[in-house]
Amino acid sequence: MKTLNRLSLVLALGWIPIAVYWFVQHPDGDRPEEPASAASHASTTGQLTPQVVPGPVDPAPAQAPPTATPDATEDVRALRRELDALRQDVSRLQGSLASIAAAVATPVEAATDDPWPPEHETDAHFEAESAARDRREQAIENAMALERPDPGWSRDAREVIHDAINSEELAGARLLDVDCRASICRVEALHESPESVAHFQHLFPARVGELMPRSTMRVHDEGQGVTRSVVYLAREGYRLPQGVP
Amino acid sequence: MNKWTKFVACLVAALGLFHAASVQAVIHSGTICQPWAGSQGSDIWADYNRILNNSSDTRIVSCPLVRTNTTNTNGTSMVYVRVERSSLATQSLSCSLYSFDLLGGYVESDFATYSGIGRTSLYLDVDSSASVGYYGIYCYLPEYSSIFSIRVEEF
Repeated sequence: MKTLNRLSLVLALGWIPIAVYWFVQHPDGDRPEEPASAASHASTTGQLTPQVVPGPVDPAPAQAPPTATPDATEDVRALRRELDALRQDVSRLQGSLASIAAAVATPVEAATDDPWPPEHETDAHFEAESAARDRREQAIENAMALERPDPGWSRDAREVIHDAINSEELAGARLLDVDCRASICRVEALHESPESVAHFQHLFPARVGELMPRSTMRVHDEGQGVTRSVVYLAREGYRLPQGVP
Repeated sequence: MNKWTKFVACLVAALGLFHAASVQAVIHSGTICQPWAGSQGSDIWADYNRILNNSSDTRIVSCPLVRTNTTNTNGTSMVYVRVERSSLATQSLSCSLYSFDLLGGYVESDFATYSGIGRTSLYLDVDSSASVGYYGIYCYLPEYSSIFSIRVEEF
């Protein structure tokens, strides 16, 4: 029992030197200052805080004297207004840039959408034109097949055609055949050169135009530079059949 | 004016308006015409907004026509060539309207002639044309005769 009492006394008195030592080391009871305390201090004095403006904070305003606090608040408000205005300007500029980019891009896109070659330069177009000419030629031939020659007019027409092709002006053309009915004549001629064909095309209709004002013509390549032209001429007062479109 | 006369007058007016609305017209000065042969260039004058054959022989002139409807295949409505044949002319004045395809292939032609003296209009039209083809006029212009203008009416 005595032993137990002594031990209790030693433990009770043993805390005294420890407490004295701690008191000597920390006489004011202060703790090391935490960074957050500075921030909370600044917020209470109206200084910029990380929550308002992202990014590094200039420590200088936090160290400004208390007399500068009201002016700094106004500055912050002005800066905020200026920032808002700048944001609006940036937004407008982005919109303008987008519209300019769209305007510049539109013609390029339209150009790339245009078919090439154009429709009127394609083989399909030429084939369609040729088919239409074939149909018309067939329609004229069909109409001629239903006609009988008009003795007086047919004779006169043949004479005019012979005279025209035998003229010096159309010397490059050689007459192959002439068939004149009541209102239509069919003329076949041979040409030894492209120049002769062009000359014949442009001058022959005028040479026979008084008796047969309307004409149409097909040109066939016979090979080896030789061309055969077939001309259909309509009697004055008549029109050549058009054929089914 | 009885009611039938009024009806016919209204019908004619309506048809005239319809025709005017459906036809496109282009008028060229005669000075668009060119001599057929370059060697005859000095004989063809383009004075006073007309073309004049100022020689003592017939000359051929070629006149290009602007096509407004470039795709129709039923030709022209009407082409008017306004000309003047001189009292000194010994041959008739004649013109041909040609329709070609786009590569110069002959499609159709029409011909008109004038043997009187003084001014007149020659009427020409073709019933067939090639899509994206073209038209042209050739005229035999006797001595001291002129072309003033060409009116092209298209469908």
